[in-house]
Amino acid sequence: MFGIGPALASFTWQHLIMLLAGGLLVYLGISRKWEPLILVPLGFGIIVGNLPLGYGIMGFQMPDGTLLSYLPPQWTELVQQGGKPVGFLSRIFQYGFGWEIIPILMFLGLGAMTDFGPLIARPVYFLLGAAAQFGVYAAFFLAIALGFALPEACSIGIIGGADGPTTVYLTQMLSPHIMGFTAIAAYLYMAMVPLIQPPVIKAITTKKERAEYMAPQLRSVSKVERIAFPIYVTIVVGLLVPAALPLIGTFMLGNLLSVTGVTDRLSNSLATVFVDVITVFLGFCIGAYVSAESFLHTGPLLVFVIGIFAFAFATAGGVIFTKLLNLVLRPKINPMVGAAGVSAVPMSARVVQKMGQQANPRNFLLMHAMGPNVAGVIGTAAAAGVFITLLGY
Amino acid sequence: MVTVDWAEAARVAGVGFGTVFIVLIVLWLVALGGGKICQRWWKEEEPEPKKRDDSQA
Repeated sequence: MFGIGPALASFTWQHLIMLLAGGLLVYLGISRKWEPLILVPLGFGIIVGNLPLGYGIMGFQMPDGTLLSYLPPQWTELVQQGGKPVGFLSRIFQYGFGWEIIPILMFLGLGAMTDFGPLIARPVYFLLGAAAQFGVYAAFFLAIALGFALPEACSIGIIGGADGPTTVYLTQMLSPHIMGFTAIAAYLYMAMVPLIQPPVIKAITTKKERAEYMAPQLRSVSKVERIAFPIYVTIVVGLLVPAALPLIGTFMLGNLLSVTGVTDRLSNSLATVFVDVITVFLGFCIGAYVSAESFLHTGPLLVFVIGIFAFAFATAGGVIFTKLLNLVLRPKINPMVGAAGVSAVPMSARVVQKMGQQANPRNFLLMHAMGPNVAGVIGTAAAAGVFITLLGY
Repeated sequence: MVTVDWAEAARVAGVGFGTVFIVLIVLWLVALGGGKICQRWWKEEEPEPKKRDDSQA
């Protein structure tokens, strides 16, 4: 079973394709610096998980005793029938993802890394974060039209929220068999935000709109406001969408620890070592889960096509809503700031900053764009919570 | 391929998008109100600048 010959004899062209796909993600992470912290372990996970007879990694024992070297898509049902993970990563996967623990812990670290100052200083940016969720629902309908079932369509739609851990969390709950694909699509397209967003923004704005000047400074935010923010966000979201509480509660706890001024030791650990460890396991496990047996079909590949539309729709939703808001709002917001409602933090805010400078060298939109950017994270978590509630999970 | 239930899909999307907007509108209003209270409170707490003592002059 563990000899050299049998593994080589079991090597097929499907394995080769998966090794190339894993290698491509590692290459993009290292060479292009596309989300390297997640794409490198994820790509390497695909390579490790797709070597034939690698039972020690992602091995699974079927209820009838047969050994598989990969985790089958319907593994949760098979576990209930007596099957069990027998590999190092498949065991971590069972508890870390089957119980939805790892994506939630990820939010703890992300909360400690997030600065809500720009959003607190100008709370109207909450609305831009909401508008960008349009991408989630546009992609949801597209997935339905292409024949995906309702739970799958929700998981594919949430890619438009551009939030990796939320995508992983929701997909694991609603449609775990496509989790590898939605996670890869979300992280890959987050890395590709600088390529996806500019053409969409340019297509729906005029040069004059892009050059709209905004004063670079936002008002200063007091410590009391920073401390109150995670508390009232948790209470409001917890009361309106309780299913989003695991994500928002941990996200806000991480943030609270970073702003109290007396828990720096905890927040420093969360924002560095803790989040790094979780990121490695998130990437490595999901990569290893993407097996040739489940990957090489048209259905999963369609996830990638819809995912890119989801990002484009989210960008358009944010920009168009900002233009509508400008009809009544004074001072006006540069419409490009709405594009940062796509919660790819901080990439979409950087895209807005760069395009703002190109259109008007006096413009420094970064701090403004960070507002909808972090509002988008809260919006996507709320959208995931609503999906979970409506589908009765 | 599965049978498409467009009515159910429209309900999920409509309720979903609507709820997300409501949540973020409530947060906008709470943050706006909280910000105004904090700014006013902050100003009141701020110590008045000391007057110059000209008594020796």
